[in-house]
Amino acid sequence: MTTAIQYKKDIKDEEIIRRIKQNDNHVWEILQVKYYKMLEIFVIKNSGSTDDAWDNFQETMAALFVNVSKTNFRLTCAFKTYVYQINRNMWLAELKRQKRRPIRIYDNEDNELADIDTSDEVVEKEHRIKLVEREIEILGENCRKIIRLYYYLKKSMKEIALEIGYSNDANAKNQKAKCMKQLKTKLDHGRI
Amino acid sequence: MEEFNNIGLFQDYLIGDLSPADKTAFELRLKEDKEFSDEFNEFRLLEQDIEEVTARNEAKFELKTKFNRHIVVDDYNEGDDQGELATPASTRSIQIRRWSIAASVLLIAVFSFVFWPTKNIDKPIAEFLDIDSIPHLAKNLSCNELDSIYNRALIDYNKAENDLTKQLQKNPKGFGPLSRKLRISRDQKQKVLKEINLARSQKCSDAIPFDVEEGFELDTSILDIY
Repeated sequence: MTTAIQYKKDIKDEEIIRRIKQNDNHVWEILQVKYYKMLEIFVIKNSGSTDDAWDNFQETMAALFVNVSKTNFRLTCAFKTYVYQINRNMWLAELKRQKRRPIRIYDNEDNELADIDTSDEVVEKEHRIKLVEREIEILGENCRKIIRLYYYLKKSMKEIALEIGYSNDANAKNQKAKCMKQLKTKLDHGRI
Repeated sequence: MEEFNNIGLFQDYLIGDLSPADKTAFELRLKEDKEFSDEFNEFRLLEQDIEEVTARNEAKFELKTKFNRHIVVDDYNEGDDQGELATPASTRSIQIRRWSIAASVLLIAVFSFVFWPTKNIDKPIAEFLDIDSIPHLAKNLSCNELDSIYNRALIDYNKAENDLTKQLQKNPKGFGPLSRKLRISRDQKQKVLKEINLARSQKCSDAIPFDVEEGFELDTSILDIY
């Protein structure tokens, strides 16, 4: 008899990807059952705690969701390797953000993960995203609203003006330009 | 780092608010003015990062309730398919016969560890590996096996260090019985880790000399409490 846990362990990668694309409620539990331990071990081996591993896992799953949902998503390695790679980049970027530079990176001893991309560029990109995320969090409320409406919900300037209460779309555009400049300045200061 | 002096112009171009003549002039400038083109590329990169951040934030919000930390997860047998560790049992037993009885006993402990990965996560290696036996043990093990033991000892040490740090954050004076217990446990694991590392660096040419204090970025204020 196949138990629920066995079923979750044995489910095929293609099926998982299909379910992520469909935003199936149960796929996240399946991913946790299948991959959590592997991802936790990497974080703990690289100066992290079990709490860090848990936080990093959730960040990894959010990034996975976004990537897989993109229409141009193509898997170029095994799904397990792909998940491990996101988790790895995410944690190394977090260590970098905390200015905790590892002397040596301890990858999991697993031959199936032999083809991971260990280049600095992938970690650098993740690091940049973390910095942008942190700086957006501390922008004013209106800037955060404009950014969400424009970049996530893809609203027009006219719609943004209506939603936030600016008199016209030119004002909304000016306000957005100010927010972007402010964000850029904060990022430049943060990098110094 | 570009200053974003032309941000209004970039926005108008990307939104499609420029007149045909201004659009042509903009595109020509992109080709001919390197500073302008660098600034534009940096602006586009920032926009892409923002798109990624906002999408992930929404995803995090949506997924927040989908995970349960106490769910039963699959065991992950790290190292199961690694070189010598994957040698058939019969070959291993021939090798073992060649060793002394003492070394065999130690190896049993080591192999239990090697195949540990997650099932015995609550049993740190320091609890079943005598520190004095490590140099002798190292003589009979391959570098791969030593690496596995080292990695395990590293996990144990990190956990002990984190547990102690958390306890000291709760109770900064650190004189209670729990702090003392955690400190002893951390020290024991640190000694084992150092000893394994020493044995590994003496035996394996590719091993990197490793300073525990520097490597883990210990908070020295914690050590001052002793």
